[in-house]
Amino acid sequence: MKEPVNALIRLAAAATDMLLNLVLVLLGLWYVTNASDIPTLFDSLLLAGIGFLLLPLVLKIIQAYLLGTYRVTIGKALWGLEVTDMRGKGVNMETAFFRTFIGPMISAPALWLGYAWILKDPQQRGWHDLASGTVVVRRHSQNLMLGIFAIAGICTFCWMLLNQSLNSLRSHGYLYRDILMEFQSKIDEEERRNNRLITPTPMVSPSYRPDLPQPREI
Amino acid sequence: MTDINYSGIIKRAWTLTKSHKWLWVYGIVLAVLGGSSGNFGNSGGSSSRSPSPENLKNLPEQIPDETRKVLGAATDAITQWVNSVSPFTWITVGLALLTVLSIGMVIIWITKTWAKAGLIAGMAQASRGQPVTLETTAKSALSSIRPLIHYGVLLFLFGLAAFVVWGIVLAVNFALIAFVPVLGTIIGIFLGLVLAVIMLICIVFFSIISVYAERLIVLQNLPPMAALKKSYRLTRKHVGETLIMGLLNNVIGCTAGCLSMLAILMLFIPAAVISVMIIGGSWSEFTKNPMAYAYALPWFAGGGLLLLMLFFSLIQLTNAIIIVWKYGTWNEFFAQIMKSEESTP
Repeated sequence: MKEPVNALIRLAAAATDMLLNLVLVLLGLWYVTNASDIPTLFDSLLLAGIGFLLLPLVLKIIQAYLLGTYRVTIGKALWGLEVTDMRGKGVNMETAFFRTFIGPMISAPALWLGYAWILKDPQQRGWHDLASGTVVVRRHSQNLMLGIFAIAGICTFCWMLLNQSLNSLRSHGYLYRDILMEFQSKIDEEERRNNRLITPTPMVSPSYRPDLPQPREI
Repeated sequence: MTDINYSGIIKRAWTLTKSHKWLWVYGIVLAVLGGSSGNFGNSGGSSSRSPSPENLKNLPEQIPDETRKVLGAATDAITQWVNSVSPFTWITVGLALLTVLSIGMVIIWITKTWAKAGLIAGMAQASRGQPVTLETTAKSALSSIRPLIHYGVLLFLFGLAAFVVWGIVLAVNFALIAFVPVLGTIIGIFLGLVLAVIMLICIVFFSIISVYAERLIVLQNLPPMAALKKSYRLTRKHVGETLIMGLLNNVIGCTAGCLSMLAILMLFIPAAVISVMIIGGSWSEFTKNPMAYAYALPWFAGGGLLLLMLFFSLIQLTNAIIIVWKYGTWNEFFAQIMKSEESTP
């Protein structure tokens, strides 16, 4: 069997996969902040909402498919790692989906102890690896530089997206001010209407008000 | 009635729970996902979290006046946009939401099934004196997921059928009350009571069936339908013993849960008080001028969050241990029942 991978490189590969999710989030943010009028803003929000719901799921399905077919996720491929069973063979699609979707539910709940287990296990296996009968090993063609370049590239792309979004937010600041002012004016209008409608009514009985006609005593 | 050694079962289950900590992983998964607490089969545990109908009814009155105004204004602005969005877009949003929710539910269901199967298989291995690790138990758990899910679907269909029949009888009951003046009301009330009792019995019966069926599927590799039939026969034969075991499990489990919760609270209240005293000198000073202690806010928030996470983790861990113990008692009970079945001709 190939050599198991140390925790640090596994963490880097996992971080690469997570950064891909972050790219999706930032793409959504960039798309929303590009809106220049209120209807477009709401339209973008709606589309971004659908994207936020579906894209991470699609990404996860792609990762599981890649794992079942090529033994890798995108992050692992970039860092030269692969997931095999204990005999060094590739995992079937069922195990790949189990590891991708159910794995985090096993390792994460107890304060991520299942992931921390990688540090303790002699074969560097987390609880999700133990449960699915897999191990993460080094590929023959491992090139750490590719991983480092990939993570740097993704980080730069994320930074660019964030920068663009902040710039758009600044340049379309009037839009958000307009929305806020519209809300404020509506609230003020509502308040004025309420003040006009509410007339002070005496809360005390007429018997305590000498200026009002008193009831006759029988 | 079969002679069952209840105290022996309880003690043995506790010994196995204490000595096989890998099984706690399954317990943690079940505790966090709010799955079966091992009481009786596979009942969910989320009903207490849903708002009561009374609360739902009073919802509009509970909204503060200012909030209502803001909501009104926002609704006005958004309504225009909402009207301009095509129905196709709303359908897409609905479908996306439905897809994510259903996939999430399926994932949770599969995870819970895996954890249940792992606990049952792991407890049996522990009882036989075999080594128990996540790896050894996960193999049996993985192979049992599919039949257990088939069994779950089968049970759901049976439950649905029972519910439909129950609903039809209830409708007839209401019709009787509405159309037959005096006798109808008397019969209606009587029938209503009978229906309630029947429903309760059905729930308990199905739960007991699940206790046996799940173990028959995982430990004896029976197909779901055969497991259901055999568990039905076992339930009819040993209903009294199973009810006593369930009652003992619940009473001990609840007591242990409450006591451990108290212990955790007693551990954390002094910790919270001490941390407040360290940061703010005294509580009264802190409440008089909270801004003076602004420098401590990040530490306070971070520490509080950590304390809270620890607190909930400890609660989940206790819950997990209780769940593992309950699965242990059911496994031991099942073993004794099967032994008595084998010995009787």
